[in-house]
Amino acid sequence: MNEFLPPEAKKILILSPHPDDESLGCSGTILLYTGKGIDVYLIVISNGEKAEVEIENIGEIRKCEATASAALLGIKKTIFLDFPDKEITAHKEHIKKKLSEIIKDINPDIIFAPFPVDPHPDHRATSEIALMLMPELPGFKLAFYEIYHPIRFNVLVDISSVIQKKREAILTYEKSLLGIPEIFWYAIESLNAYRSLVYRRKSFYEAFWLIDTPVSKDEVVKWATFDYYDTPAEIFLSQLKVADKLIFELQNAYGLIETKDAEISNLRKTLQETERKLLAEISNLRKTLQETERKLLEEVEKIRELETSLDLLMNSLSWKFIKNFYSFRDKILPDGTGRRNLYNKMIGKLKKVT
Amino acid sequence: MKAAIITAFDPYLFKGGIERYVLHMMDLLKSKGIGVDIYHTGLIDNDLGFHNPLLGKMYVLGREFYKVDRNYDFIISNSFYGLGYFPPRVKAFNIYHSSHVAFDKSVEGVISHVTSLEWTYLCGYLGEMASGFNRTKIAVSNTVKEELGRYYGFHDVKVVESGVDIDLFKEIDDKEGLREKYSIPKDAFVGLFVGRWDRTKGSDIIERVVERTPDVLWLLVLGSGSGICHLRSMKNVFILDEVPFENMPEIYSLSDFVYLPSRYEGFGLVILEAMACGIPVFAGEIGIAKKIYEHEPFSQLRLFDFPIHEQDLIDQSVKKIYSLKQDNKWKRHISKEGRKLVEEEYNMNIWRKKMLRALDLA
Repeated sequence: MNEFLPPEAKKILILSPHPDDESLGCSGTILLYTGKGIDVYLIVISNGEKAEVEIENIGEIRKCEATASAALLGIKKTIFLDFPDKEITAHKEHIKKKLSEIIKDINPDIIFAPFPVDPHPDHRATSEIALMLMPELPGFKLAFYEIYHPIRFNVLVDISSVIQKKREAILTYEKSLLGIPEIFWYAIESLNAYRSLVYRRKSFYEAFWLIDTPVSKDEVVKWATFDYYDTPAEIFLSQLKVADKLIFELQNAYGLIETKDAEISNLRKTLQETERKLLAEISNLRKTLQETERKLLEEVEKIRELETSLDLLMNSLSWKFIKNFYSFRDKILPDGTGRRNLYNKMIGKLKKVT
Repeated sequence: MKAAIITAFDPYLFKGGIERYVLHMMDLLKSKGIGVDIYHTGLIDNDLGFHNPLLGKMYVLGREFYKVDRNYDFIISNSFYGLGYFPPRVKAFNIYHSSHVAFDKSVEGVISHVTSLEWTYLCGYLGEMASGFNRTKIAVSNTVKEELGRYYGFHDVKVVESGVDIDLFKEIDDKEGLREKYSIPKDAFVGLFVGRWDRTKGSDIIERVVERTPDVLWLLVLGSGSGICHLRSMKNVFILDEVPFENMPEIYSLSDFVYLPSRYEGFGLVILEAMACGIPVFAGEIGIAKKIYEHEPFSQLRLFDFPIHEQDLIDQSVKKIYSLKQDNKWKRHISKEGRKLVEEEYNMNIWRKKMLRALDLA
């Protein structure tokens, strides 16, 4: 921030969408320039003939008022482009061409234009044209002034010394300012006073946004909103970063899935192998069991056959004889008798023989 | 006048298709007295911590370029490489050599899920879409133009089909001498593949066709970034790695046909370069082949498109290759017509005129 002086320049060009905008927006600074002998040129783009007043030839009247005001401000030359009021946007290219010729001719150091964020479409369009011209005709700075909307500034110019003359310039626009220029003056004076807030120095200031390189619309909005607004490039970057991060995370996730897949695959193989071995073992066991069962059944069959044979034997005459023989043996051959001893000897010999 | 070209890699160091395109563009602009500066990621160190460093560098490249863009009358960027220069403040053009969304869809199942996501969302919907914003969009083929309309809603795309330097790419009438130079048997029936060896280029299809054609000598000219080629040990396969493009007319001229079962090409310059050298090219509905092979006598060279069963494609390829081998008359006719077509419709002078018109410099 400088010492609240106007930015240095040798030649100044003011772009005013309508007669009166230059006086409302930057006449204090104009006065400071002209007071130092600096050439100030004024281009009035439209005559403001569609003003909300029922006055015949209002456009011509406004031109006269502008001429009077310019004289009061010490403006070297005022050029009226006579484009239709409220149609600056529609004639943008044509106006740009005209301005380009004039700018080449005047070769100003600073061009003043309304701030790009302003409720009036003609003000915005004028601002846009100035921005478009900047890269095409390098060599000048752009200073945006405030009219209907307080702006974010980077230059404040202390106009206290010329505030009364500014008042006169505004009051010159009797018809342009709807027959109530005092009300407009009251508002503008208040706006200029309001700027004391920032530096706590009671004075009147005109606020400007001064740029020395071209800016895009996004940069304008970013500036106007104290960087609250992200430019599309920043939004794009954040989206790119999100996508980059997501894909990286997905890559990691897929990597993890692939590792787990490999682990699962190995486990599945081990499981299958174990299952195969287990099934083989079960199969062997089953075979052994079946074999054992078969053998067992064969044994059982044999036992049954033996039982049958035993039954047959027990029911046979010889078995009955033997059974009875043993019942009577001790009676007919008592122990200790010679008959018994003889009997025992005979049996003993028979056993040896068999 | 002064112009800037934004691209991914230094065209003097890398010899890819886009880098060659950039060099042609430079020649064209210089011939009109326009100064040209090249901006590429090799000039950038900062990748903003992106996980994909090339993407980060591309973004930074664009932002750095933003600081000097006013020094230029217009800017040409390639593919999505100028994505960081957003939104453009100076008259800007974007050349679309392909569409990554379409590419991804063409190679579904062939590339990994992650690569697929990267191509579709990062390169495609973010990169290529953003690169079309407020820029004159130029596609290298009608195929790419259709894709840009279908996937990105771009309906204001100009088409400037790529051109071939027909003075460089022409038949060298010394087949025997060339074969001797490259140790290729004089009497062999030579099938040629040119490109990066990966499945997007149909390497898997070639492997199977090679197996089915033992009496064809396959010459594979593999580009940079190729994967492992399992055919190296095969008797009927001869491999050359990264042949300088200046030598390619020799390679084409010693061959009998080109086989290009690529799953996707934005343009497929190989097709035209081979045709300019009088060599028939078997290719699917890819890039420029889609347009050329609609007409006779070239329709016979068209392969089935990939959505069909791959086995059919292989059967058909083998059949067509042997038909060509047995029919010298057809081969001569198609070779002659191919050269004529490139001379009349795709020579570099036509490209230059069309490109100048597209750049509003005519």
